[in-house]
Amino acid sequence: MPSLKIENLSKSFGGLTAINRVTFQVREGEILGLIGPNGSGKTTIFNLISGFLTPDTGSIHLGEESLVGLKPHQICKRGIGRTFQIVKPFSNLSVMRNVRAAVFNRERTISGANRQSESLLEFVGLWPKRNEYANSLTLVERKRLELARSLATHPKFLLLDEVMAGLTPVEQQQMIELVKKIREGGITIIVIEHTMRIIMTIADRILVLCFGEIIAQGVPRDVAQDPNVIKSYLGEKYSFA
Amino acid sequence: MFKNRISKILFLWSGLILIVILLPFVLPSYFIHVLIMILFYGYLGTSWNILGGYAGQFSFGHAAFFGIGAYASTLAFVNWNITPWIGMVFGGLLGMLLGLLIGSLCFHYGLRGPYFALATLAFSELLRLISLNLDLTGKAMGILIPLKGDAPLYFQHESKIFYYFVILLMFIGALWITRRIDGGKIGDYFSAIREDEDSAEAIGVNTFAYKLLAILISGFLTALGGTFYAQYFLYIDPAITFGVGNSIEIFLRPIVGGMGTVYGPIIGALVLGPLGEVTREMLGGYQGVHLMIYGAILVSVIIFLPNGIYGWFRSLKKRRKDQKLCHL
Repeated sequence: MPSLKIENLSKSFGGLTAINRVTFQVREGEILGLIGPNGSGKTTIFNLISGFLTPDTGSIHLGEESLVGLKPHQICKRGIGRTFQIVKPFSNLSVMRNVRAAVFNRERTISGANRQSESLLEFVGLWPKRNEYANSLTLVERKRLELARSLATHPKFLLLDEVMAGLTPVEQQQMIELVKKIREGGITIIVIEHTMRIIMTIADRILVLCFGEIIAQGVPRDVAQDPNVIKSYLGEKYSFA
Repeated sequence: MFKNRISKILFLWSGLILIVILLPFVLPSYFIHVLIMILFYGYLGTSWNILGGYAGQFSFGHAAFFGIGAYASTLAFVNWNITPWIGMVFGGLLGMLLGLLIGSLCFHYGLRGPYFALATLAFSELLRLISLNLDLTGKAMGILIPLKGDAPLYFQHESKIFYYFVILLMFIGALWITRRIDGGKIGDYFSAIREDEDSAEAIGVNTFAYKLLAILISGFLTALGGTFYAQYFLYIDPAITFGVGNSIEIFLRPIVGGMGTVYGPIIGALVLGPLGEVTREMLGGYQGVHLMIYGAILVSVIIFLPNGIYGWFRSLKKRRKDQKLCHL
C-alpha cells in the first residue's frame, strides 16, 4: 500500500492562516487521531487532502503521485474516502440508494452494486432502514450512513470527520467498534475527534493542531502529558491518569 | 381472477397498449389533437425531467433547445428541401451542441439553482432576439412550412393519426431512456448530484461530466420535439419557439406530475392537457383565463404536493404499508 505524505502544507483564507507548514505522514494500517481546539485547522486538512480545497503551498503525495490539483472525485478514485462533519446524506433517496451510488465508484453491474450495498448496510447496522428515505434517519443513523457511503467507494485511506460527535456514550461505543473493524479490514484511518476518551482508546498515534500548526505528535499517552498540549488544548486542570 | 401478479400486469399492459393503438381510429379529429398535445408535452416534460428532475439542474430556458430543433429542420427543409426527418436528427445534434455550450459554461463556473435557471433563460432569450432580427429566420413573421400533402417521407400527413403515432413513438423512446437512467448508475449519480454536490464528489462522481451528460441528453430530445411541433403546426415564429411561455409549458408538467420520476411528466400532461382544453372551451371568451388557472394549479401543487402528483401517490402507498406494519 502506498503511503500518504503531507509536506509543508499551508492554506490561508484571506488574512487568516488556517494551516501553516504542516508536515506529517500516515503509516499503513494505523489509526491516526487529529485533535486540537476549534478552528485549529483539522477539517481544513481533510478538505485539502480530499481535494475540496487547494493548498497555497506544500505537497500531498499518495505513493509517488501528487494529489494537489486533483478534483475530489479523482482523489476518491485513487482510494481516499471521507465523511463530512456536518453529515450530508442524499436526503430524498433511500438509504440503499445512498450507499449504492457510492458503490458504483468501483462496481459496474447493478446486481453487484446491490449486493455490495446490502452487505455494507448490514455491516453498519442500517439494513432494517434500507428502504427509508435518508431524511427520516436519526443523527446516529445518518453518521452510520455517512460511514457506509464512504466505505462503499473502497478506500485505502478513510478520513473520518467527527463521526462520533453528538452521539450518546452507548452509540459512541458501537461506533468505536465499527471503526476498529474497518481498520482490521486493512483500511488506514485518520480520525478527527474532540472527546479525549475516544481518541485515547482508538488512535495509535495522535497529531495535535493549534492555530494551524502541529504542536505535538506521538502515542496517546505521551501526547496527553505534553505540557504544550495541556496548555493549549486540554487545559491546566486536565490530568490523564 | 388472475393466477398471479405477472399475468395481471401482463393483462393490464396489453390492454393499455391496445387502447393506445386503437384510440385514434375511433376518436374524432379534435380528440386526437388533444391526445397528441398530451403526448407532445409529456414528451417534452420527460426530456426536461432528465436535466431538471433527475440531475436537479432547473432549466428555465428549455425553449432554446426546442427552438433550435424547430428552426434547424425547418430551415433545411425550406431552403434545401431536405426532409425534416433528417433535419430532425440534425436539429437534435445542434441541441446537443447548445447543451454543450450552456453546460460547459454554467457548470464550469459553478452556477447552481436559480443562477443556472437564469442563465438558461438568458440563452433562450438571446436566441429569441436573434431569430427576431435575422432575415434568414423570417424575423417576427416566422416561417410558413410549405404543404406537401400526404407525404410521410417529408414528415407531413393530412391525417392527425400519423402525427399521433409519431409522437407516441417519440414519447415511448424518451420514456425508455428515462427508465434506463432511473434504475442504474447514471440515475444514482444524477440523483446524488441533485441532492448534494459535495457528497457526490466525495463518493467519486465527476459532477461536471454527469451534469453535462444530462444537459446533452435533455437538449437532444427537446430539439427533436421542436421539429415535431414545426411539422405538426407547419408554422413557427420566434415567440412560440424560443419564448419564455414555451419554457414554462415544458417544465410545468413534470413539476405538477412529479420531478425526478419516470412517469411524473406524463401524469402532469394527462392532468393539465384536458384541463387546458376544458377551460379554453368554457372560458374561451376571456383570453388568458386558462393561464390564470394554470398559475393557480402550479401554486397549489407547490404548496400541497411538493413532490408532485406521483410523489403524493407514492407517499400514500408508503403510509398504507406503514399502517399495515403497525397492525401486525
